Amino acid sequence: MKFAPLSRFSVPMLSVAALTLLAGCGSDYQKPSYVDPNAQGQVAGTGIESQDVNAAAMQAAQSIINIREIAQAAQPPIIIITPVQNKSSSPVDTSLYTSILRDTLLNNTGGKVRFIDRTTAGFNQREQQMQEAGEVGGPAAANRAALTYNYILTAELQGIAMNSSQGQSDYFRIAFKLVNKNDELLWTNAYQIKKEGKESAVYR
Amino acid sequence: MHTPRRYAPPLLLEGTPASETHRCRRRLLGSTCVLAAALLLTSCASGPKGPTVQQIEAAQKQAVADGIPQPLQHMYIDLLTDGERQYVLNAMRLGLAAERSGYSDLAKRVFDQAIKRVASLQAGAEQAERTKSKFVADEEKWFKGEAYERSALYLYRGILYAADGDWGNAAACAKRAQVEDIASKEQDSGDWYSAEWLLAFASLKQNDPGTANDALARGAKFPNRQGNVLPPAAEDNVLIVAEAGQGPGKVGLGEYHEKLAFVQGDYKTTKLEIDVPSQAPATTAATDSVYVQATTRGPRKLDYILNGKAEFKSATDMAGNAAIVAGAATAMTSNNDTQTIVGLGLVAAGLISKGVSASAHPAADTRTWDNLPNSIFLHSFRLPPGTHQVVLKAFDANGKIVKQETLSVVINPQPNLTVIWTQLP
Repeated sequence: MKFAPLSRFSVPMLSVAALTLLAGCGSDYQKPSYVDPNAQGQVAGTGIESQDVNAAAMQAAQSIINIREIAQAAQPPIIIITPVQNKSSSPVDTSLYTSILRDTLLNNTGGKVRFIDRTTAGFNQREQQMQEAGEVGGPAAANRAALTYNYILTAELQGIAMNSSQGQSDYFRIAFKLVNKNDELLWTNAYQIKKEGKESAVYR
Repeated sequence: MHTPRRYAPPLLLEGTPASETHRCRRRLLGSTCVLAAALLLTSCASGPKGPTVQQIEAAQKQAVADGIPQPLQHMYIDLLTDGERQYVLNAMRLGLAAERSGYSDLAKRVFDQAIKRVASLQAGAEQAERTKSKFVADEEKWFKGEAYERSALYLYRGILYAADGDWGNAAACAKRAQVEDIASKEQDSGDWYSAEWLLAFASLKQNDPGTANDALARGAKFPNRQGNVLPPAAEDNVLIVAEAGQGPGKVGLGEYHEKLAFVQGDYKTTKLEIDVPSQAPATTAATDSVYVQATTRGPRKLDYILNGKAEFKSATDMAGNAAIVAGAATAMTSNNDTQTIVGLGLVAAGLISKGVSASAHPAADTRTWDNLPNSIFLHSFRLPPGTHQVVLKAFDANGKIVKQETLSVVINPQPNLTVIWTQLP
């Protein structure tokens, strides 16, 4: 028992130290894996994500087909979607969000509305000109009759961000508006998201 | 069928009494534990390893393949080879260097990657928790920057959005720059004048003068304002981004370098005059001092963690000293074997305590976004299409010109914003 001071205290102490240190020696490598794009990601923060925009667009699609101007229209009205406007406190890829919005609406309104896509208008115009000039073969040139729209659908992302030593939160509101050619507001729909989180204390 | 566990028989050395063998085993166990502890304590203390030669060579090839300009290639190689721990820091450095040099696409790409990581609560969370351990250095966490560095990240990204005419995202970045500027001293929270200035400019461009006026009114009340700054106008199509001096450096003060402090870099310019043809000369102060933003944050939660580590290191060191002194005295003055062994045991315990102390890492993380300037000047004006000579005069605090340069500014008929970068002393 003459070594009691060493053996009694040092072994547990060293074991604890060893476990602590061993626990801290892990690699930070993580093999890439496929994840559901509609699920919250592993690297999530409190910002808006693609699944939020998807959910907002889904809600808007279900609402918009029930308004009188669309539900009772003799022919499916034609809608043009303007780019998402970001008025929040988070930089977002507005182009991507506009695409998500357009796709979700297009695929979830059951043919009750039609959408205009002007992104290919320039290409179509050039093709028409080449046909008229006889530069390309195929069917005889027909007059291009680009559609005009009945309504404009706009989407605006608004938000408030809070940050403190206790944590952070982000509130987002995705507001949709349907406006006719006389600037009359026909329909609005808003989808709200609020996220809270706290970073590790070593970053605060 | 249950198989009874078989135990190894007690180790008995031939011709050795059992009690002596027991002592030998305890000595062996103690020595083994000390050795194991030493090995373990040093295993993680060595810190992250650098990239291999093969990794650097591969990154060099990648930099060329990705079309990275020669002057930025070394930064790009760092970005590719240093890993996630340094990613945000390397992206901040590279992004800013690229933005200044006119490589906007590269700057946008790496800044966006940095923002993605900074905004993610989970990125690096495991490593962050590790660094709370007394035996893991603070600088082993994934770098996300201090509040002023994060604010600057959003500010510089916002300028890139403005150059693209994406005023919505430019305004969002300006707002986020303020959100990142959290401080325990309330009056210093969200007080970047540059961010309010950019928000005002972006709001004017979006036909929202109300938000612009609110932003400038908020900014006018900031206690850290550097002087009079001219407001932007909706019709402005040229933005000058002038950066003066060297940004703040980080140092660790205190016995164990556990207290983070900032050192101001060299700078001279305190006022900028812009002479535009057929317009009255405009004089503006800096929209922000980055050094002031770094130093007005107040205490961090992390400071309490580092103080705890420093106290632990100090206490274990002192306990080790005391045990060694007491043990040595006991052993040297003993007149029997028992006292000698007790004394030596104390010395051994003291050495272990000293070893534990030596393995504690209370030093503050001093990794720094080191190509930031000391101060930032933002100024906008309107020029018609064509080529114009714009003269910039930088003045020091005594009113002496420290730099004068003439810039040839080409304005295209398109309504895009022309952004001019310049470095001042």
